[in-house]
Amino acid sequence: MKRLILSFITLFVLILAGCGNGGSGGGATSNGGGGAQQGLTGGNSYIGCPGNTSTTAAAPESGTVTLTVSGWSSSPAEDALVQQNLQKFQQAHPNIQLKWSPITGDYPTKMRANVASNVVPDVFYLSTDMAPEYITSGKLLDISPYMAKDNIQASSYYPSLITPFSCKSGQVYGIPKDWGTLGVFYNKQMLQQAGLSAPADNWTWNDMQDYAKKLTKKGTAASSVYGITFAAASSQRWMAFLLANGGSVLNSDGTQATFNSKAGIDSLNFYSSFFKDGSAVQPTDVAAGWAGDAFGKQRAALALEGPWLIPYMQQNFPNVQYGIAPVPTAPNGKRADLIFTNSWSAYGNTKHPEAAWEVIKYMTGQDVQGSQLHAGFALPSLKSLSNDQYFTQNPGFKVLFDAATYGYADNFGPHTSAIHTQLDQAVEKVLLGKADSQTALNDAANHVNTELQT
Amino acid sequence: MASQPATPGAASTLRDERKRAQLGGHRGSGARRGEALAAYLFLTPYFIVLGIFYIFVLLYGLGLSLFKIDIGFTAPIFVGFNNYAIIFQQLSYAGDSDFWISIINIIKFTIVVVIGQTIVALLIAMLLQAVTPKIRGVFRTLFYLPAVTSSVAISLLFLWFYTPQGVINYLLSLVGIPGPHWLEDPLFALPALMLLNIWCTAASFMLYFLAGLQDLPRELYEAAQVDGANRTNLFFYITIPLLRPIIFLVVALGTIGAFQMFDQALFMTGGGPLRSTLTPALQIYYAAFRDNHFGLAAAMSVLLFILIFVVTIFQRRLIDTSLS
Repeated sequence: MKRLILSFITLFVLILAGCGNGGSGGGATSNGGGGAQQGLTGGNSYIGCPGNTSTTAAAPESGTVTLTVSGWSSSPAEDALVQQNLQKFQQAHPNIQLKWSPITGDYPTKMRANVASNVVPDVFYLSTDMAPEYITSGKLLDISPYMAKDNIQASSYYPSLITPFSCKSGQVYGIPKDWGTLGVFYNKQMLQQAGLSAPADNWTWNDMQDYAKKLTKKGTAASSVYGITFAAASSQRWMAFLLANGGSVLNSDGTQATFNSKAGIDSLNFYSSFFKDGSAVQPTDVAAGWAGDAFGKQRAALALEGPWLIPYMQQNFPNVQYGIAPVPTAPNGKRADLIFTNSWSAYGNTKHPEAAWEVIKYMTGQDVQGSQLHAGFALPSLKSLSNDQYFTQNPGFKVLFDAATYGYADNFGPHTSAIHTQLDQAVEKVLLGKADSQTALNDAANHVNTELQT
Repeated sequence: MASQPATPGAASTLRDERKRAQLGGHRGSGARRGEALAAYLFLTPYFIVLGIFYIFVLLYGLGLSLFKIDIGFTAPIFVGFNNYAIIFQQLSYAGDSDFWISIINIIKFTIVVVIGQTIVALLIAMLLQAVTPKIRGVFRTLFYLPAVTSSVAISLLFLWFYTPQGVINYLLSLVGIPGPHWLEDPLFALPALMLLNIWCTAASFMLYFLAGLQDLPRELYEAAQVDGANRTNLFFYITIPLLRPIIFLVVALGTIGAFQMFDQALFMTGGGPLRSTLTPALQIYYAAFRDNHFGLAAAMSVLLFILIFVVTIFQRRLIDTSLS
């Protein structure tokens, strides 16, 4: 029996040794070539660089090349636009054939299965949650040499957008294709009825509390209207206030949790004050699926959401008149916001790196980003599009776009999902009145610190 | 699968089998060998599937639990029993550890659900037994519908029912009870899932009881009635003892199923609010696919397996299943 178990374990270890890959984790690498300064960002201290950076750009290939391109589709209209842009690319590059095969369902899990079986698309979307693991294990193509060769500066993209896809020494592994952030959506009619003007550009936390209180009208369970709506487990809203108050989630080298500072506790007290004084409601308590749904159903006058709410309102609640205000300034006069972004990246072991780079360059270039902006799908990541005429026609969109200048990427290295979970639990405990801010944040900090050690 | 329980009808089936065997015995050993070969051939596909998707996966999971691994990105590191050590170290703050909270949740859940669904299944079966066969067929189909409906579809439907202004609170208000915010209240979220599960799984176990009830010998009842037994006595002293093997089957299968509850927790509450509906299966899923700790998740699944195994063995001792 013992010999049987031993042989099984041996067999198992052998199988695993074949499956595992040689990617190392972390560690500094040499800089990407002498004159490649434009291809580098300022560096991302949360993501270790892989051990196998190639510092030269491959030469363009002559024959016909076929690439698989993958990503996800949040709507049929968006999918159609992506395919249209890929078609335009193929017309401009007749020797590169593209095969668009989006992944439906759980994208990170499906991509992980692809990586484990070494059958990875050549060019694909990468979310900030996936970035640290993919970069550090060497699964992505280092784009910095190609950016240097084609004179594309990392600085033409807002730092908060491109740094999440670079590693410690500044190498770039993905170019942001679009992004979202948070703004305060307000119901124009409900503000008018309460005798309030639209929120000023520099409105403060106190103003927001005031607005929420004045906009709350208690009635029966089915008719009550509230000032603001958000879910209890919403750390990815509260963090905007944490950052505005001068707090941070992790220390600069990502080894310690710092959100349980005084700035953090004060910001969580502010965030929970809406629930405590009855001016906030959870979406599920008004039979809504999420905050945007509650806002559309006009059960709340304010909602802290992003550009994804715009097409949702257009489709489901086209008659609701709303505006978008920037997040309010904290008592210290500062403002901060959260940035959610995705990039186009290429597989590290792709057979056609130069062709893959051409696809990335085109799909994140001025033309494609302009088309996405004009269709109202997403905010562009290029600084050069900041004065596009679309923004004058859609001032709400401009308010969201400006957040790039004071926003922080919602990503903190390889343990981001664990950090989100712990913060969600802490925020939920406080909002449901089960703990005070200090205890909840201290508990979460202990768990996060344990997690950071693994 | 639980060991073959002896149903009341088993005795008569065995008798028929012996008769058939005696009749076919004279065909000779060659034919018998051919039959055996045919049997093995027919069983082979099942053994292949069992081997790959069950036994190999079981051993792979056991092996995974000895590594720190994230499937495809970094090389696996052999850590021995460190994953188990991590889980048991969390016992020191069990009230805040995800895994141990999930174990407490699932124990609460299993106790209530198994008792609930066994009683409900038996009651429905007895009700069906009392009506004429034509009506019985119609109602049996209606009662069995939850068992064949996708659990995801049921979860979505009940997500709608359980909203604060939903159907269930409306029905409660008709009786004057103010309904709670089922899925947002940490006290009521797990009971909401318990009620849902009792309704769903009682449906399939009702069939076991129905089959058992139909096999009960009429003579025993008549004899007892002659001796002056009333309906309660008949139920507690004849029906229940004769149904014991089926009760064990229903309780054991119900326990094994309840311990692995996953779909409803994932789709309806995501483990919240405040981890009140976090189940071990859900925590294993989160540890593996959200936090990338595949080795830790495998260790958790091994511990869950041991827990279910021990509980089932214990149940078998408690509910005697020896052939009469």
